[in-house]
Amino acid sequence: MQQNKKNTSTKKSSTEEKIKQLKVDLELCNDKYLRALADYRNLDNRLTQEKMRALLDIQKRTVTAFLSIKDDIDNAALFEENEGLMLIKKKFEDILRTFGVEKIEAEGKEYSADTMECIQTKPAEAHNQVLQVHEQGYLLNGELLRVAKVTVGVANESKDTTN
Amino acid sequence: MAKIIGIDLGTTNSCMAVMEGGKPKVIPNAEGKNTTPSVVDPTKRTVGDVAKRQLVMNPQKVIFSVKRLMGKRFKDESVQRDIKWLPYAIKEGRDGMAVVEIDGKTFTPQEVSAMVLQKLKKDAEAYLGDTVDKAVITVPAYFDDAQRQATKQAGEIAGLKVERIINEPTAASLAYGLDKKNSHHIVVYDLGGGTFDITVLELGEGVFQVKATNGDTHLGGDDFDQVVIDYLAKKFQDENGIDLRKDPQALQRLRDAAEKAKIELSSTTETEINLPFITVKDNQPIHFVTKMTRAQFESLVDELVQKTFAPVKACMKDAGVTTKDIHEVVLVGGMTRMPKIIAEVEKYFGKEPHRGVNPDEVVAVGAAIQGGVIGGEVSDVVLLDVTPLTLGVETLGGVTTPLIQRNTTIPSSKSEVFSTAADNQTSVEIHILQGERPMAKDNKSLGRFILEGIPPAPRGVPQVEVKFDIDASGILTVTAHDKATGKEQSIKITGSTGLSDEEIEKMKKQAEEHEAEDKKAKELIETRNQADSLAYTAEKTLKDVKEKAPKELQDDIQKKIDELRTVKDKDDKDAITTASTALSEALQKIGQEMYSKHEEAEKKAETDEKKDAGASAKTDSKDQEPEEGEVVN
Repeated sequence: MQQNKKNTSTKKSSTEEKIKQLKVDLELCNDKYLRALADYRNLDNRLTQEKMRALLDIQKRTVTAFLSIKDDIDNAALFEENEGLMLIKKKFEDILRTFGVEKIEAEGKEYSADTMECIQTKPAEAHNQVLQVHEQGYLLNGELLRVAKVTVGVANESKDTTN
Repeated sequence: MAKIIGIDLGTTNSCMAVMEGGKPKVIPNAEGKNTTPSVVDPTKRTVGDVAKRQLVMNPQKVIFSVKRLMGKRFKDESVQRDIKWLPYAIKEGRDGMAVVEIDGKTFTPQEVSAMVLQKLKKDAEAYLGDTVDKAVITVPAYFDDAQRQATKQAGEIAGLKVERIINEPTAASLAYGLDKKNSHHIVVYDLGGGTFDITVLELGEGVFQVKATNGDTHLGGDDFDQVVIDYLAKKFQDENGIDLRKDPQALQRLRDAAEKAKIELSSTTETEINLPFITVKDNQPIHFVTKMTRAQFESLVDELVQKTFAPVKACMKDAGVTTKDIHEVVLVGGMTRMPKIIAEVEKYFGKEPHRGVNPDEVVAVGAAIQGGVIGGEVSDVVLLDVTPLTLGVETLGGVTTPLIQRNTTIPSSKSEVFSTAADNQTSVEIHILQGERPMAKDNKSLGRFILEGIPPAPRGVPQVEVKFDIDASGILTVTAHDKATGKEQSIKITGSTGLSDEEIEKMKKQAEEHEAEDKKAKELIETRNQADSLAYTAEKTLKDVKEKAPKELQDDIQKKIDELRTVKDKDDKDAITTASTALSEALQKIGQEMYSKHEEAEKKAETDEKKDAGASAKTDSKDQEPEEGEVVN
């Protein structure tokens, strides 16, 4: 009888232990599952963001490649008062505008490293003012597409610096 | 758990990467670029591209190349040399260490580097959406203890616990997994933007040891650009008598063009430098157009390329090894994309160098791998298996319709709805296949079963959903479910991934070898199935219109149906297409005929018929002679 009781209690304790172990295992599995799920969600969110980023990047690269032609047209327009050329220039600008491209207004403005790269400084009364734009800068939907390359005025400077 | 990021804190550019899901990934900065210029304006605390844009504007305030001063004494020979060309002020600080002075304020190289690291940390946190407070940072193999300590301090100032400082060449070797190979001697050839390093590493028991290191602290990609700029400027000067280097705007354009030419000549053999309106002479614009071949470029920079081999030879000598002892060669730095450099390195060592990983990012990638090992990420990766071959079912005409594509990570499940091939078909056979070939007979049969009790209906009407489900151990359960009756039948296949590697390779190879003929065979079956479907629709139309269409037209269509049925089972794809087109055109005539006859009253009925006829020509359901029990897509 007593032996029986002992057996039952051993059995009971081993079952309890098993349950305890299973609970631990379950918790572990559940934790792993939740982590995997969270990882997946995070990855999913990031992939969406990266996709948007990639799209923007492709757009940026494509538009940037055409900016050098825009520069050439602008340069040509300085020398030739050709009506056809002016029409091409306007058309090009219209197309760029539809893509969300806008000029960075730099000349006469205060120098800002966020959108401009200084390639030369010259002594001037107005310190930090853009004196000349060498390469026109552009924004694409408000984001920097190409920096404007500029000459900046520096007060009290003895000599020019050139990059 | 917060991740440990790997940082390549470079002289000109810095880069960072992290382990994700067991793979290294380069983290782009806030500007979306994979590398950040190691340039800092300490007074305004701007870092990277924004600081770099002010270099000309504030040469005394914007700090670059600060890595050259890390952990160095002011009196050190190299510091004295650097003072001569670096535009910012370098002074003697506490304990005789070299410090940078701006507007009377001193900054230690550690503080300046910390600003770069801080930006990287911030950008990594934004990218990962988690705090980043641990890092592995790389340093050149020749860095002494003081320089390593200074780098570590820079990390700590930036709020990063530096888990380890590792050598750049070691990181590059880790990125190529060379620690797992049985190689003893590894050479790392690192030609970056401004410095050249060559290192011989010895690998023993998974530990890398630097045997010797050498280099040139003032040789890099910028020198290559300068050679091209000078060549182009001289050429222009010879032709037009104007030195473009004196005009900042022209110089800027020339510099961009030179860099572009250098990059292009790595993949093409000739490039054009096209700079319209580059300058003005006598109020007239002058354009600069010239060509440069790869051979020309290579001969221009040959001196620079050869210059790298003196340190290489010295390094080999110091390490006490000959080229025969070298097992692996690793290339690092953007300039090593140049075919001439790859060829020269290969020629010297008699071994093809490793160059799969982006040479600008390879050091950061290696640092991330080291970070992953420390953080336990690398060893603790949950290995999820993939299906080695495509799994699918056989559909009409003996075609394999794939459900689970190969290389799908498992566990995974996929289902698709199929229908019957014949009118009043009451059962379908599901034949499960494994392999890459389009025809069922060429793939491995994994099992088959029959789903019975489908209510009699015209072909294409019943909806049988077939579901494939593979669990994590590769056990495949295929279930077929009739949507109308709810009847279900399934089979469990345990050996779906149990193929040996050789078998898998063999099957993949066969698929590649037979690609063209398989495609042809599949096209024939598809054309045949389309023809069959068209004949079926035509017959149905004839039945529907009865006397509403002229008899001769009906006879013509019947004749064309018979013709199509005759050619359909032959192997002449073109004949089937011709017969199909003829029948399809005749069918359209019926529509037109009926439309003109019954303009008002039967307008609706006619439109339906026309739709039917149109659909048969367009949707092309893939049917052939219906076989009992076959599943049709």
